[in-house]
Amino acid sequence: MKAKHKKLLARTGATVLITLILLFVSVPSVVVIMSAFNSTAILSFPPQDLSLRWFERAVTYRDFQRGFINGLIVTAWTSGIALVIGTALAYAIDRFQFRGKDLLETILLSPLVIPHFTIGLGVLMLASQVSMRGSFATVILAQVILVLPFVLRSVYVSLRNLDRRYELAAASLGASPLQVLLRVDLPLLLPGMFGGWLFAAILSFNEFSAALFVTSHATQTLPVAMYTYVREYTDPTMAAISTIFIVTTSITLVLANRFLGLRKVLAIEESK
Amino acid sequence: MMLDSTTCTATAPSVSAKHAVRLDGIGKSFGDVTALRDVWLKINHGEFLTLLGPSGCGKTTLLNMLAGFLTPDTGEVFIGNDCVTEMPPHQRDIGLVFQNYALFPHMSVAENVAFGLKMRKIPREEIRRRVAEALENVRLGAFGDRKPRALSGGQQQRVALARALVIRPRLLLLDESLSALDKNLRSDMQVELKEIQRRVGITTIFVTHDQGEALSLSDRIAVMAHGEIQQLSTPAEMYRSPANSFVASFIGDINQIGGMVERIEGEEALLVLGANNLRLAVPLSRCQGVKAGDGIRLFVRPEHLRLTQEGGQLRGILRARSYQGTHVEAFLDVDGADLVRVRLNRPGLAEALSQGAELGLDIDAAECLVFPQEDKQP
Ligand SMILES: Nc1ncnc2c1ncn2[C@@H]1O[C@H](COP(=O)(O)OP(=O)(O)OP(=O)(O)O)[C@@H](O)[C@H]1O
Ligand SMILES: [Mg+2]
Repeated sequence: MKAKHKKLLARTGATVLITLILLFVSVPSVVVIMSAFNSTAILSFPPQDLSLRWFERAVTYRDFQRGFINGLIVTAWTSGIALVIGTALAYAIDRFQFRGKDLLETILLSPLVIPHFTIGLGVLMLASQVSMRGSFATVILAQVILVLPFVLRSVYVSLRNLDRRYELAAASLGASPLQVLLRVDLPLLLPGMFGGWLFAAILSFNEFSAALFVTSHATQTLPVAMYTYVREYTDPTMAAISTIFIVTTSITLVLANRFLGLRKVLAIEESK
Repeated sequence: MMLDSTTCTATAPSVSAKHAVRLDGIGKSFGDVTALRDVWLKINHGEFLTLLGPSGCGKTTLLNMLAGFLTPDTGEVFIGNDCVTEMPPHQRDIGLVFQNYALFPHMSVAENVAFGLKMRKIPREEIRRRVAEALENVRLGAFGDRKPRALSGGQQQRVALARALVIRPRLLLLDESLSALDKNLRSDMQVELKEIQRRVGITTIFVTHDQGEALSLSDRIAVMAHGEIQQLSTPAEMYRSPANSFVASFIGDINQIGGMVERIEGEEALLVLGANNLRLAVPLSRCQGVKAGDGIRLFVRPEHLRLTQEGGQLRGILRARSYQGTHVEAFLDVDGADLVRVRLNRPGLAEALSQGAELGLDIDAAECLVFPQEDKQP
């Protein structure tokens, strides 16, 4: 009886705690989303009247439109390049022995060690040397460096989970090493590659601190355009565009989860 | 032309190979571990050969050499007339079935079976026909569109077999291929595997550490230990005349009793056995390298002991008995031996016995085996 009591108490406690954490985490987003529907021009909470005028302004504002297009361009290139390099590196790290492998592995598999703005600053200084400041190439270079670890990690985990006996079976059936790679490895790694790519795309599209250093007015991405906007105006347009951001990202993740499983997408499946 | 030379030169194709597979002095080490030590082996065309041995004795290593996944440190591998020691796996024409089947999860059953044919650039129409035929052959004609994970273990096993056989390989390799199946399914699959193998007539090397499986399936068995082949012979010969004490205790149930050779007299060795100095004359043909005065171990199978109420060559106390359906096994505590296992074919007698009863044992001396005390026990 007593044990049962304890169990119930623990379960209730856990539920309350989880609810609190979820609330705590989502409060800022909720505040922003609600103020986006405010009719007055002051960025305030709670909203007075409901209106969609800030959404309208957000989608018609020139800099945001350009930022959105720029963001798509940068994201497409970044995630694509990161996917190719990340997959190749993951394969090399998993399959081959070479000098400096451990160091490479440590650096590439642990993102978060180097702050984004450091990378932004570094790339900016390099770009200035070759007079490529503010070009798309520069922005993309910085972003690839940032998102590479995520793609790499995702593909690497998939590779570790790949049963080598599939490859041996294919070889015994007459598949050359290249055919094994294309017909067995690649299809089996596809979910991990897609997950890594998606993660890279979302990160790149949302990335701000590095982008702030390396973009020019012509190449600025949406987060940078938003920052510039905030420095000049304080109206709920910002909240509206943030809301669009949140909704789009959520839908993407939900869809990815639906078709692939979030565990795979985020590559939190550890090797067996 | 010397067919038995150990150099890696292909024989002229016109000369048909004497053996389907030939291993000439294969050795392989991983760091300090010697996985294979100077293995010589010849396998006949169409033969079903089983590699049997305890875990870590080098069975998989040997198979991997035939498949081309490993290159030997020393020696040469021949398949038919070809020296394949350095040939990569995809050129070897070998069918392979793993313990976990390794069916490609992203392909349907039919695509799995078609894979090897596609790699061989066979026309699509012929692929379709041969895949259907192969699936029919393993009684899975209706399952072509399924994904492997939608099949039971036994069905997956048969798909793996069909996938390996459809390419008409020169050699079929099976590594513990039945070990993942439960007991009933396993004996069904044994029968089916053997039947298919005979029908196709393909040379087969089968790896297992289940001696029952080895005895029932094989034309010949190679018992391995510590990277060496201990004995290569037919199941019946292996069971009746094991080459050393390791093989004797590895194949089937067997009792051991320590003793010594008193003297050799004509065609018989006179032994003194156990704590009670039982005297027993064993034919010399059943003794391996022993001489007068040597310490020995006598090996005798449970079915070659006869239980008696009175008398008997050995006396012992009944400690346990277990009912086995077709027979009863009794365990007797005999001085100078571990628990002695006796097989009783008349369950009536066993029931009359009570635990703790003192009983006699008669030994069928003609079926005993005698090995030196110091015989290597790998
Ligand atoms: N890649 C490897 N690296 C190091 N040691 C290895 C390697 N492969 C095999 N070995 C060692 O070689 C020996 C033989 O291994 P092998 O896999 O051939 O055994 P096995 O007879 O197939 O055993 P099991 O019945 O457990 O499958 C073992 O001692 C094993 O530890
Ligand atoms: Mg093995």
